[in-house]
Amino acid sequence: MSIIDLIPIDVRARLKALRLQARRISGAQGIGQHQSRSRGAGLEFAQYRAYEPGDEPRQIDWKLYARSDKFFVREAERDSPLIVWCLIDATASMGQSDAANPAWSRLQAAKALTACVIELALKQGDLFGLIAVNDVGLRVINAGSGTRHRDLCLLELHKLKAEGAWPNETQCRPIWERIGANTLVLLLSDDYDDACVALAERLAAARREVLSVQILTAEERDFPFQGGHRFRDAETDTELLTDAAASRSGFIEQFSFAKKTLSARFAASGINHVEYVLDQPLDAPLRKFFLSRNSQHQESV
Amino acid sequence: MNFSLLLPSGLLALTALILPLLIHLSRRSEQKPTDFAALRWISAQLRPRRKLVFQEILLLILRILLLVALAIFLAKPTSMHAVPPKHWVVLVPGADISGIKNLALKQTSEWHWLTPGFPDFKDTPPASDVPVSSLLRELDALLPANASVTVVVPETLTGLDGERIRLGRKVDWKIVPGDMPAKTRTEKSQPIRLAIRHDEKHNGDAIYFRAAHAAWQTEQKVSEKQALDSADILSPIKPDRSALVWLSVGELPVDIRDWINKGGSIIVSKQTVVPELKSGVAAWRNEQGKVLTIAAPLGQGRIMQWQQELKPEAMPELLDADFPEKLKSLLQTKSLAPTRAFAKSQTPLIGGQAGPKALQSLQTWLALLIALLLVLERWLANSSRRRSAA
Repeated sequence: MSIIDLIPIDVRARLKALRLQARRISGAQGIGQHQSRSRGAGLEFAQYRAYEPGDEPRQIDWKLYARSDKFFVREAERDSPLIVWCLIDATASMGQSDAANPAWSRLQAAKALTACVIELALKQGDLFGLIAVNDVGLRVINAGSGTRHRDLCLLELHKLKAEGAWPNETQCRPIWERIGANTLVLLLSDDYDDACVALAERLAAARREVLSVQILTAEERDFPFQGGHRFRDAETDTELLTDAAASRSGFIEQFSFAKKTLSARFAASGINHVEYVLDQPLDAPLRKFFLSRNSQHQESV
Repeated sequence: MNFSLLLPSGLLALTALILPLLIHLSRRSEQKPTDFAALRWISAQLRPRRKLVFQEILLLILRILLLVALAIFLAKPTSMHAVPPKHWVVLVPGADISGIKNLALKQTSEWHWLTPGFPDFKDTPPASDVPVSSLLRELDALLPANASVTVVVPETLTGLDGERIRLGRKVDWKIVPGDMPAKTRTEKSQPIRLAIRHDEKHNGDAIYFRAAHAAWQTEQKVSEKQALDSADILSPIKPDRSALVWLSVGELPVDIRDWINKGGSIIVSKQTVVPELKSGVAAWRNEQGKVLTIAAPLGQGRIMQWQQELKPEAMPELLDADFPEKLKSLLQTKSLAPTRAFAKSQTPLIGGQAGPKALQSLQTWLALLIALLLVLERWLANSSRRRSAA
């Protein structure tokens, strides 16, 4: 079976400018590129401590020994890897796409964004995990690193289908079990389920750094329908027959109000929130989150 | 260049235009539900307005064009296309060709003989017995309206008919020395086989006709001499008689009328009542202009009536020496029209029907256009289907 690359070639080329960053100090063990609380070998001086049996002799600060006649070990702050969790909404509403490009659904965009983040994490040696959420069954790939782990995640992504609704509280428990504190959580959803937004708020409140990408179709933004139209909600199976042209202005007004409310809620919880419409380039939301400072500087010049 | 339709009822096919319009009415969007997760923000439950909206306008226009072209195709479009004006010179056989160079005719003209098929001038003229006037009318009908014609005729023309030549165009009538050979008359005038029927009262009047009959017999050869058939009105008429003099009062008997219907000529006395003669025309006037005889057709035959009493005091012509000849010409059933005249007097008149326009059918071009439109329509229809399926 051949697996088609989820990331378009041009987007893959632009990924080089991006760098996964977290605002908080990383809590993971091991050696990485992010600031952490754990101390050890490193460039940045942290403290002296008394020699303990088992310390390597070359870690002893010999000049201080000459002055004080005691063994002191020089400790530095160690850079740790980051843990990135991709939380993918896989409910039925994510299967929606534009009539102009029926193959490019919300879920497809979410899969591609996840693949991008996995590539970035792999490049930086960070750990990455994957959770797909719907009430058919939570799919979890534990945080890990390395190319084998990446391939495992990509396989899982390919199998993913948009079905069902948002799960209830009990079904959501594995999310809390897996996603630890001081990790980066990327939520890819349409944010139409209130439970999903609530989950993001609670994750943020519990010391997880949440980044939210709201994936919208171009039809939801523009409402280009004409004449009588029969609309259907895939999750609740409700139908609505209405005159599209007449209800356009009302919809756009109410929908933008809802979006404004949502981003206000996210901002209040300290969640970094961006909107991604399906006809935009795929890396647009990632550039807002992860564009490294040097690159930002270059772009502004 | 102007267009016309030979079969305008073919445009009824335009009613088929309703079909693509119906097909393209956008109704399908109401049948097929659209997935839309942001349903809860569509508030107003507005009934769809019944507004005529057409989908895929370009394809619709193509289909309408295709149907219009088909309808025009069925209506048989033609164009009257302009032909460069040509000049024809036709020569009537018998004209003296040697003098033609002096006529200052254009060398670019087409030269033809005025014989059936209008053969080229270089060939020898085929002998024909088709009348000249008929050939001229045919030529006039065949040539386009803007062609000009010069007719070279000999001084004497043969092959004319009762009607003066009347053409749709003005022709150049060139008379050159020469003579058309006169045709020998194949049909000779038949001798009149006269019968006389009279009642007692008109017995005296019959003598003029007996005398005329006797006078006719003197011109005939011995073998063709006829006996006079003069009898009482009740005696039947032999079928070989061609003319009858009826001298009686009252109406004509039925068997006499039947005989006239079959082609006989009859001349009746003044007292005979014949309703057909009310519309009769004068057949013989005397020198003073007084009408002596009126005539009217009856069936295939001809009926005449004396307008005067058959008495010399009322009608002195009865005693004239040429009375038998006059009577003969009255009763002669067929008269031969003169067919030979001086060309000078036969210059064609203008005012016939103009020749037909040269019609060119446009159906071939239209068929090409239809094929092109069909290919375009198929291509567009299939590509739009592919696009929506993808």
